[in-house]
Amino acid sequence: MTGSTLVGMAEIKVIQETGSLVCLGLGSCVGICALDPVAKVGGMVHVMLPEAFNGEPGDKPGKFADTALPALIAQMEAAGARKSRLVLAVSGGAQVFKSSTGAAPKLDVGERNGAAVRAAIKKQGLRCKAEDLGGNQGRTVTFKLDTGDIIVKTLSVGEKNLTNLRAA
Amino acid sequence: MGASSFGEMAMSVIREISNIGVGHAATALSGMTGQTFHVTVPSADEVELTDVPALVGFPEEVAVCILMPVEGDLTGQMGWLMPWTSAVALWNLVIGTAPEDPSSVDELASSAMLELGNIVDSGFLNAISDMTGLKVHASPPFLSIDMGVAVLYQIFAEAQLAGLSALSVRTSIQNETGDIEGFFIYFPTDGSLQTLFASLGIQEAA
Repeated sequence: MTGSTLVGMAEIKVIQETGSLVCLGLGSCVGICALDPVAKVGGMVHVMLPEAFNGEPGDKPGKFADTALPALIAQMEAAGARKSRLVLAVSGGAQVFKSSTGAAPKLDVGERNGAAVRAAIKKQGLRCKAEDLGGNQGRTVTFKLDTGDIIVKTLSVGEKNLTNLRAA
Repeated sequence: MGASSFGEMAMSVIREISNIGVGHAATALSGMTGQTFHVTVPSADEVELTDVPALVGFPEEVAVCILMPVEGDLTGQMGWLMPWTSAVALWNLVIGTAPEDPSSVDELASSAMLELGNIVDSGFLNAISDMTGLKVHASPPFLSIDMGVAVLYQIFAEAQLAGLSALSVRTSIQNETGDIEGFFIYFPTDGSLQTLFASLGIQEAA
């Protein structure tokens, strides 16, 4: 496997031509994958929280759903991508905790992240090809630029192909 | 890790209190399992997000985590994380059997683990209560059995969303044969730290 780039929490990574991007162990976090198939530019961001709140320094746009997507688009455009050609896939936003009585209702950052990412995509008018949000399992998401495959790995299912961003 | 914005005096107090707290937690755990547990000296510092995967030590491996909200005069979150193999060893000691894999954790195994969390948490919090005279109590815990890094990321996200301090206190715990290990991580609220220092007559706190 050529050049696998880890995308840590709140990070934005953009690659060109070849390689893959990996978000390791997304729990409540959401991974946004984007591809410009013409320019062969791929990007991924590892979103941690729904929105920036007061007093939070703005030096990490990748941390929040509302600032992450515009920053990802800007970085991909700088690498030669065009916004109008971008195709997206999102995965994550799980609730990995449960209480003895069922779900852990107080801990809902995953659900909020998922909703905020959806809203951000809508606001940008981008096309999201596949969505794998929510649930109660952590996910590792791999985006292979060479093939366009988005692979999601969970403990119970193992690896599955979420979508292919290259296919029409 | 960056330099702390808390004073050195404050940090040593936090370390010392955690040390005693986890010592009591270990005693409680010994009572449940009949095993002797060793506790490392806690490290207390502000955790950078990029450090998280390294913190778990076993990022994509299965971790069992009990998350315990702390309430009363001091508030915050305490998490107890251990590798799957340690949880299996604990289950065998406490209920005489263990799930074969993470997807076959049944009601009994879940409640046993949550109960262990309760007992250990209470041991920790009672020690702090005794020392400071503050009222602290545990509220019902949450359980997660998933990739270690996914679990820890959610704890960090929830802590940030709740406005908890970036400070975390970590202590490792291990039994004599080394087949049970894990660590505690505690996120206090900023207000809680002030309350804690005030109860001990310490002025210095950022």
